[in-house]
This record gives sequence, C-alpha cells and structure tokens, in this order.
Amino acid sequence: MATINLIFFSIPLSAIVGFILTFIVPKKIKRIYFIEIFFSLITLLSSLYLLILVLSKNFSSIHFSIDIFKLNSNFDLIFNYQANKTEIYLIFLTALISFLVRLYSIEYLKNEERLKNYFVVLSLFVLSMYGIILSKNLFSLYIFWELVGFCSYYLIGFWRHKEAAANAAKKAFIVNRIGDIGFFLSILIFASTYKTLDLGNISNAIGKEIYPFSQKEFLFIALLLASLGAFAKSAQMPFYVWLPDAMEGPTPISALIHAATMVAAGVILISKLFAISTAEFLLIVAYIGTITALAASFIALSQNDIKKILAYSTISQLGYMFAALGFGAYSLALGHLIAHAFFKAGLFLSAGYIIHLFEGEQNIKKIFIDKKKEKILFFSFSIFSLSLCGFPFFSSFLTKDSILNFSLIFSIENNNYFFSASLFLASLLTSFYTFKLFFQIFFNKKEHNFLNHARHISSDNKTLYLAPIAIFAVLSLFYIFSSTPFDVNRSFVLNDITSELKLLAIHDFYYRHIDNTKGDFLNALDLNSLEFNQKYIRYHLLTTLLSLLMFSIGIVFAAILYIKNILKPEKIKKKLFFIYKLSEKKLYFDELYDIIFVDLTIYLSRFAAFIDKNIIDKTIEFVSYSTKIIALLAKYLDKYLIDGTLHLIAFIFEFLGLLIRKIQTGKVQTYIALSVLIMIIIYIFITN
Amino acid sequence: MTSISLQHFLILSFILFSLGTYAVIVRKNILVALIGIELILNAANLNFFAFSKFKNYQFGELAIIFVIIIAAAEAAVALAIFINLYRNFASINPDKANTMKE
Amino acid sequence: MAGFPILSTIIFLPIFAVLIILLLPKRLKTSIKTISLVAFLLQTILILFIISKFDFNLSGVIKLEEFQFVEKVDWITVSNSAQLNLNFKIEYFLGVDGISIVMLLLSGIIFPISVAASWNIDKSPKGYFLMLNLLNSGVMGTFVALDLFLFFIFWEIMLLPMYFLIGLWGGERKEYAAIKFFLYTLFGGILLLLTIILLALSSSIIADGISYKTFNLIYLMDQNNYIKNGYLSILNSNHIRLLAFAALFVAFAIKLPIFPFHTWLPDAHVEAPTPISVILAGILLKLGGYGFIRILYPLFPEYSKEFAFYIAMLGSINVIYGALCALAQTDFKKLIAYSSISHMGYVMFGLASLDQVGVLGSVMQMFNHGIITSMLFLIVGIVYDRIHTREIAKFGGLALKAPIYTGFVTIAFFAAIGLPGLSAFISEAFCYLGAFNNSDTRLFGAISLSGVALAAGYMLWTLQRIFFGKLKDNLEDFQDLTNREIAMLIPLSFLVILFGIYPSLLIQMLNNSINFFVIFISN
Repeated sequence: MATINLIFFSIPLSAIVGFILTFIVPKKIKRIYFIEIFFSLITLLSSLYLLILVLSKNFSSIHFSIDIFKLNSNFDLIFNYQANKTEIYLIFLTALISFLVRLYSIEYLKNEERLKNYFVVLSLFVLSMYGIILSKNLFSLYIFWELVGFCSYYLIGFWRHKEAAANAAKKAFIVNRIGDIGFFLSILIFASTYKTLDLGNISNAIGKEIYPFSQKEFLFIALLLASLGAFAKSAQMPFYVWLPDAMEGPTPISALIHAATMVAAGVILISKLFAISTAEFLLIVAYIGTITALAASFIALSQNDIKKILAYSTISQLGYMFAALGFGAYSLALGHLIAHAFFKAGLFLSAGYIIHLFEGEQNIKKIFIDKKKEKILFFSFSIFSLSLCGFPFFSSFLTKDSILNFSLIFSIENNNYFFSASLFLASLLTSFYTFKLFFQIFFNKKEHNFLNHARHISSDNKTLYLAPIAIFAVLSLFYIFSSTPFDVNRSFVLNDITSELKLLAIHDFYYRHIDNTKGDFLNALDLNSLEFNQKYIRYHLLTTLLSLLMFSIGIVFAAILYIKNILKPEKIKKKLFFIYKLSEKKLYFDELYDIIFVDLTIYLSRFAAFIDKNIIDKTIEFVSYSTKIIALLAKYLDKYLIDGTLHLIAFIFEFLGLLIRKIQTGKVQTYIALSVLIMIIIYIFITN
Repeated sequence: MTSISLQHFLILSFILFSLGTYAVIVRKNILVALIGIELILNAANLNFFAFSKFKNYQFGELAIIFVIIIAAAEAAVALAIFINLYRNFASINPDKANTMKE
Repeated sequence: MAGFPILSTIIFLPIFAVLIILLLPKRLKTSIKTISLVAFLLQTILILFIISKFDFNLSGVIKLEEFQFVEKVDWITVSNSAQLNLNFKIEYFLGVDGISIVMLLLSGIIFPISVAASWNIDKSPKGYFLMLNLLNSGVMGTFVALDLFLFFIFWEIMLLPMYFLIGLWGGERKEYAAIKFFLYTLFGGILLLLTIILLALSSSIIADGISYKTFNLIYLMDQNNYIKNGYLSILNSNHIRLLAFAALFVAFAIKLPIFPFHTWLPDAHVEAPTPISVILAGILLKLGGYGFIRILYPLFPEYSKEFAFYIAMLGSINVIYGALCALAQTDFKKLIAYSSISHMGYVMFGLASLDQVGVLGSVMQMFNHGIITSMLFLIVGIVYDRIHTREIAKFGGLALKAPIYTGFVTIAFFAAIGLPGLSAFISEAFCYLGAFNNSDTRLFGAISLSGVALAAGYMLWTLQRIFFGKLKDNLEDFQDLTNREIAMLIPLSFLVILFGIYPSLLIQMLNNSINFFVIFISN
C-alpha cells in the first residue's frame, strides 16, 4: 500500500520539483533541460507502473486532500484529489506525451536563447494538467485551469518579437477568460448553494434533490455556465477562434497543448460534471459538439497551412468528444480523447519536422516530400491519417465508430437526424481534408523546383525528431484499446472507464424519462438496458458500413483532386466560390467577433473615459469653478462695499479738510478779520 | 443843547475804532493799515480818557501814557517790518505776502 | 516588555527621523536618505515583531480587552464645565487587532520600498524626506488609533505632506493635481470631523462620577454609551443618524475611491512622482477601506446591512467602469491608476456582502492589491525614468532589450489580472464567493465578473503594445533593470507569489477578527 502511495505521489512531486529546479537554476548552464527530462522520466515511469496496476486489475483508488486555506467557517474549501482508473489513464497520457514532446523540443528549439523559460513554463503546464486531472474540487480545478491558460498564453507568444504571435496569445487568453467567467459563475452558484465545492459532496446533495436556489432550472444554468468554460478551453463553437491563431507558437507546443492535453481539459471538465448533469444540459453539449465537428471540418477543407488544417481537425475531433458526452457515452468520449491525443500529437510533431525540413514553409501547396527519402515519416503519417479518419485496425476506429453508432441510435430515438447526419458528414469531410493533406505532401509533385530543397539533416539529429513520431504511430493502432480490433465491448480501457461511472454516484437524470409530454428531444436512453444493447448491435454494422462509405468518398475525392490532377482544384473552387469563401474565412467568425466584442468594448471604454473626463471631472471642475466665482464675488464685495465704506469716510474727512484749509489764505488781513469776528462771537457768548 | 456825556465819547471812540478796524482789514495799503492801527489805539485812548473824566477812573490817564508809548514803539517796529516786507515782496499790498497760504 | 509602547514607537520613529533630518545640512543627501531608510526598516522590524507576538485567537473588533499592544492614556480631559454640560475626554488610545495588523504589515512593506524608489530624487531631497517621514507617521497612526479624535489628527497629518510631495516633486500638472487631491480629501475630512463631533456629543460615559462625552471608538460602538435621544442614538428616530452615516460614507468613499468620487485619483497618481504614487495607491487608498471596516460599519451596523445592495452596486460600478476607462487610456500611468480604481471595487462589494468569506476577501484584497499596485507603479516609474514619457504608443518591443524587466512586468500584470497562484486571485475569488452568498449583493457579484475579462483585455493589450513585437526606433538604448530596481521588485514579487500559493498566512491573521466582525454586524 505504501509503495503505491509513494509511487503515486512521486508524480506530482517530481513535477513540482522539476518546475522549481528548472526555475532556479541560472540560464547559463548548458543543457538545463536535462533536469526536466529527468523528472519527467520519473513521472512517466511512475505513471506507467500505475497503469500496469490498473491493467492488471490490481488498482484501488487513491485519495488525498490539501487544506490550503484553513478557513474556519462553514464554507468548506478543502482541496480533495482523487485518482481512479480514468485519472491514471489520463495521467499516463499526459506524462508520455509531455515526455516525448520535451525530447522533441530539445532538437526543435536547440538554437533558442530562451530555452530555459520554455521548459519552465512547459513544466508548469504539465503540473497544472495533473492538477486538472486529479482535482475533485471545483475551486482547485479552476486554479489549475487558469494556470494552463497562462502557460498556453506564454507558450503561444513564446516568440514574442513576432507581432502575430503576441496577438494570438492575447486572443487565446482573452477568449479563454470569457469562458472562465462562465465557469467561475457556476462555481459561485454551487458554492453559495452547497457551501462546498467538492464534486462528491455536490453530487450527494443533488441526489437528495437540493438544487441551487431550490430550482432545477438553476442547476441547468450552473452547468451551462461551467460548460462555457469547457467550450472556450476546448475551442468549440462559438469560441474556437483562438486555436487556429495559436498555431503561431512552436510546433511541439501545438502538439502538447493544443492537440493532446489542454484542449482536452474541457472534455475532462464535462466528464467530471457528468454525474450531476441533466438531460437538457447534455443535449446542449451534444448540439455544440456536433455543430463544431461539422463546421470545423468544413473550414479545414479550404485551408492550405499544415498547422491550421491540423488545428481545425483538432477542433472537429473535440466536437466528436463533446457530442459523445452529450449522447451519454461517457467512456467513448474519454476513450476518443486518449486515441486522439496520440495520433494528433504525432501529426503535429510530423508537421514540425516537415516545417523544419522546409525551413519554415507551412503551405502544403509548396511542399513535397519524397516518400522514399523519409520512410519513417511517411509510414507514421499514413498511420496517423488513417487513424484520424477512423479506419478499422486503428485506434480511433473503435471509439469514433462507436460514437457514430451512438449518434445514430440517439437520432433515431429522438427523431432528430441532425446529429447523425452531421457527424457522418463530418467524417466524410474529415477524410477529405486528411487525405488532401496527405496527398499534397507526399504524392503531389510540385512543378516548381524549390520543393526539392528539403534540407538534409544529419542523421543523429533526426532521432529526436523521428523517435517520438514513431512511438506515437505505434500507439495509434488498435491494440492500445482492445485486444480485438472490432469489438468495442472488449476494450479494457473503455470498460475501466465505464466502471468508474458507478463510482461517481450517477444521478441518472439522463436515464429517467423526463417530461414525456414534451416528447422529442428528451427521450432518454437507458444505457444499461438489454434493449439498448440490442439496438447497439443492430445498428453497429450499418454504422460501420456508412462510415467506411464516407471514408471512401472522401479519400477518392481527395485523390482525384490532388494526386493525379484529374480535376483541377481551382475549377472546383470557382464553382463553389461562395462555399469556398465561407470555409476559407472561417465562417466569418473572426470578423463577427471583431465587431461585436472588440469594437464594442473599445467603444464602451472610450465612452467611459469620455464620461469620466468630461462629465464627472467636469462636475468637480464646475464645483471648483463656481467656488472661484463665489470667491470673486466675495472679493468684490470686500473691495467695493466694505473697503469702500472705509474710503468714503476717508474722503469725507479729506473734503472737510480741504474746505477748512481754504481759511489759511496767507493774508494777514484775513487773519485779523477772522480773529475779530471770533472775539465778537466769544464776547456775545460769554455775556449771554 | 444837551451836554456832552459819556455816551458821546463812547460813540465817537466806537466810530473811530470801527474806522480803524475797517482800515486794517479792508484797505490794500499796509501804511493805511498802520494808520488804522493808530486809529484803533487812539480810539482806545479816547475811551480811557472818557472814563477817566466821567467816572473818576484814575488809572485812565496813566493808561493813555502807556498806550501812546507802546503805540510809538510798535509803530517803529511795524515800519521796520513794512520796509522788510517791501524789500521781499516789492509791494505795499498785504495780499501779495501770501506765501504762508495753505 | 509588558507595557513598552511599541505602537507609539512605530508611529513616532519617523518623527524622530524628521528631527534629525531637520538638523542636517542640505548637502548630506545620502545621509538623509539613509536615515529615512533606517527609520522605515526599523518600523518594519517592529511590525514583524508585533506579528510574531500577536495572539491570533483574539478577535478584537469591538471588544476592548481583545485589542493587543494597547496604549490608553487620558490625554485631554475637560471637566467641571457643568454649566454647558460639556465635559469630554479625549484619550491617546492605540491598539491593534487582526485587521489593523495586516494593514500595518502592508505599510511596513511599502514604505521602505518607497524610500528605495526615492533614492534618485535630486530636487531638494531634505524637504522630500521630511515630508515622507511625516506621511509615514500619519499613516501608521491612522491604522492603530482607536480614539476618533486621535484618528482624525493622524488622518489630517497625512494630507499636508501629500500636497507638497505631489505639488513640488510631481509631473507636468502637479499643482493642479496637488490642489485637487488636497481639497477633495479635505472635504472628506470635514465630513469626517462633523460626524466625529456629532458622535462625541451624543455619547456619555461615566468616570469618577462625572459624565463625559467621549471620542473613544470602542465605547462609541456600544449603544449603551449614548445619551437617550442624543443626536446619534439609535433610538432616535429622526434622520440625523442617516445623514451621519451618509457623511461618513462619503468621507471614506472619497479615499477608497468610489465612483463618482474618484476623479482626483487619475490626476493625483499620474502627476505624483513614482514613489509617491506607490504610497498613494498602495496604502492611502486602503485607508478608505479600513475606515469602512473600523469605523463606519461598527458604528452604523443597521444601515450597513440596509444599504448593502447599493454599496455592492457602487463596488461593481467601480470594477467595470474602472476597467473600461483603463482600456481607453493612452497614458501608461493613468491606465494603472484606473486599474487601481477597478480593483478597489472588489473591496467594496466583498465588504457589503457581510459574509465571512466576503469580508475576508475584502481585507485580503486590500493587502494584496497594495502590493500588486505598488509593483505596477514601480514598473511605470522605471520606464518613465528612462524614456521620460508615459505614452504607450511610443513603446514597443521592450522585451528584446529588457528581458528581466519583462519578467517582473509579466508577474505584476498577471497578478493584476487575477491569475491563480498569485495573491490577488484568492482575494478576488473570496470577494465573489462572499458577494454571492448574500442575496442583496448576488447580482453585483455576477455582473462584476465581466470585469475579469476586461482586466485581461487591457492588461494583455498593454503588455503586448509595450513589450512584444518589434522594437521601436527610439528605444535602442533602453537599459535593463539596475540593481536597486531589482531589489525593489524582488520582495514584492516574492510576496505576490507567496500569498498566492499559501494564502493561509494572511487568512490566519484575519480569521477571528473577521468572524467576530461579521457576527457583530449581522447581529
């Protein structure tokens, strides 16, 4: 028991220690990344050990908690973490991919001056990802959620002298922030209602029918708000605009963050909330997932930049995962996440290698690689492409195919064929753009000569590039999921994940018939029933055939357009000009957002500043101005009235004095006359 | 014919006095003013004499002697002042000596 | 050690330094600076000493016996004026509880850093440091004074040095800004004085058989000490009590500052020299919040509860309006000033929630924001020192020339945005949590969340405009940070990260006091 704990705790601990050490050690030390490689290797080995335990059915859950706040109030803010089998799978996934990406980065960024910063933030990212996976407490989840957002910001804008990269980073963070507002608002709702943010306690309370503000609708609102955060993080409609721009970052980062882990965080969040979800909420999730899957694959059709194609492909596949959650196929969603992580990471790493070969050229119209020269790349890339399209014998066939099956059943049950039609159409488009990419790079020899200037990389460098790619290729085959390539029920991974569902104390809103009077969308599927299993098997063959059909159409079209140039793509473009433009301009979302959010906000901010400067401040200045006027009045009052009175008195005296002065004429005779007069007067007075 | 009484003397002295005062105050010739002063003094003398005669005022005659002596001395001084005055102001009009005017 | 007047020492240490500086001739500039630095550092050491000896189990808020390091001496006593019935007792009464200690800690951290930031003041440093020391004294005194008269004295002591510091050592429009600040704050001070006098006149305590009017805050919190039918007795049903509440509210609202009484802040901050901006934003704004918690709320609990809705509304207006205005600014320093207004809004609605977590968040926000905004203003000062302009449009690509500087700026900006792991997140989160718990303030908690996105908007936009992208031509010889500047920024960054990762350090200090406070107000 103790060894298991030790091994388990070595995972977060080595992540933390690796982070701190890489941060502290000064930049000048060469090969500073070895610290990180070492610690991530430890993490990898520990998670591998735990995985083996899980696979051999010897695993029991691990729980631990951290009381970081020590609030002594009735509000419970103790961070609980738990590791069930699902989490072990996800941790192993993260550990493996991050390890391989780190190895790849050593070579990819070997001339980079700020390599230390790169690895520091990368290790912080991986650490936070473990936090998200292990968190059972919404607040702790939110903390790590924001931290991965920060790491993503830093790493997208890693080459910060590039204006485009800085813009992309800012866009990513802000769009994520907007989603996070929803997430945090839902946290607030849960916190004020349940006085705890521990998911286990919350689901217990909901099981006892304690709803936020005593109304079930508020549970729906809270869940919807939380899902906003998930949609933003996982680049779903309508928040997807940041992910294609995020391709400005280094390719290993695109592989790690924007294909395998961070964007999967949204799926992880919804899966954690699955236990308390309501049918209406899951319906919304299904809609968003489906719409995204279709729209993103539509946009990918017209793209010509490798990384952008892969970005939209990621968005589309994430849509599948959300759709799966929406249909109730919890384990399929997570299973598809795992499968997708491997082949998408592999695709991105291959893209990085290709870009490296062509010294930064990312436009597939200008790239051609001779498959004889780069055999490993060719084989891996083909494995990835087939897996992406869900071709049998490859890993995602099991999951994607089942998701399509689910969608079919869901559509039939609810008489709404939107879901299945869109998802099947999306798979057609997926195979088209995937093989457009594949054929353009490997089969479409370009006329211009510069395509032959693929750099000759010396063989020892190639290992660090090609080994991770090859490993991912190996992991994209069927056996990582199931011993048989066709039977999803035998998939050990999926079964393990499904069994967790009971542990989550599901409150089967989804399984009850809700509001039968409303009919249509709210028909629930009882996933445990025999009836469902029969339906599943019945439709399975149909689904497989349909999906193979979609695949073939897609690949044939791609071949027609891009291998032998039977049809010129330009002609098609002209014919479908409007549709093409819609796809190329990413459905005009960027422009829309520019007007709605950016312009509006700037307008509001200028308005606010205007009010502040001209109205409020002017009011103060008016007060001071009027005080000045009053003071001026007082001054004049003082000067003319009060002082004036003084002057008046003085004037009177002066006047009198002037008058009296006239007596002094200087003439003697006047004086004599005066004295005589006065003597007479005095005499009269005396004798009277 | 009434006999000459005290009243007559007093009225005469009053007339002389007022004539003398008129001369001092109004006339624009300082010598005439001097004459006026003499007139005033003599009017006073007459007054003294009248009272000495009619009322047996013994001191009256003595007073006359004093007044005449003083009048003489004062006339001498006055003339000396007038000569100085004429030297400074080139005129015997007392109005011309008004430099002490305010 | 019992009875050693440590609080008075803290307050009067700068006065002592003033006396020494007065005697020194003007040319001994370094000595003047060193003396100030030593005085402030001594203060910090004493404050840390107080914290180490502090018993955090005592709450304090209204209970006289639970205040610590108390110094209570009869100061001015007027008795035997039986004719006018105007005996009063003013005491020299100092004491700390959990809330004051946190504020003292903040001051103790910011003041030495401001001296370090003032090291290069070359225009009559003697006068400058005299004023700075006086300011310090006033600030320390305000945080520990428990007698209203004494409080008011220290409050006014802070005003005059600020006027000179802004008006003589400031930027272009320094005279305008200084006068505006002074008159505005003085107006608030007058309202404060009016209310204090009213309170004193309505009080009545018995000592030695004579009934006195008192200015002692603790006594005034107890309704038994009021004259029945006196002006501010709670039984009095006329509106004087409401007016007094409003007057006191406005007085502190001007300091905080709360919309619409905030317009002195952008001018004062922008025109003040860097270290003064640091003190102004870092400490003086907190006096408003402290006034609310220490004086307004305990004296008028019923109105505080009644108007919680409006107070929270004002708080959220602050958050959003401040953020919007910040977004529109072209002057870097003014942007930071408006972001200060925005962050102080959290204090308001956290406090209005009267919920334990909310009020805790509010006080923590005061502390955390003090540190973060000091960092931000130091950062602006660094740029201004080198380029002598604050126009954002003139900057670009500074990360290429000054990577260390960019590192610190990133920490500061993300702290202002409220990234978890840095201190402001916890305090803001708690304010929201508290606001949401109280049905009056719930709406405004939700509305203010949009401020979070706006903060990310203007901060990141500014970060990008100034630091990323291509280097602008006029910035070729931009020096990276000097050792002095690094020495200023490192402790602040360390504290931001420390309290972000381990906030219970702060929470331990505040828990009991705030618990008691909330229970008392909600009585």
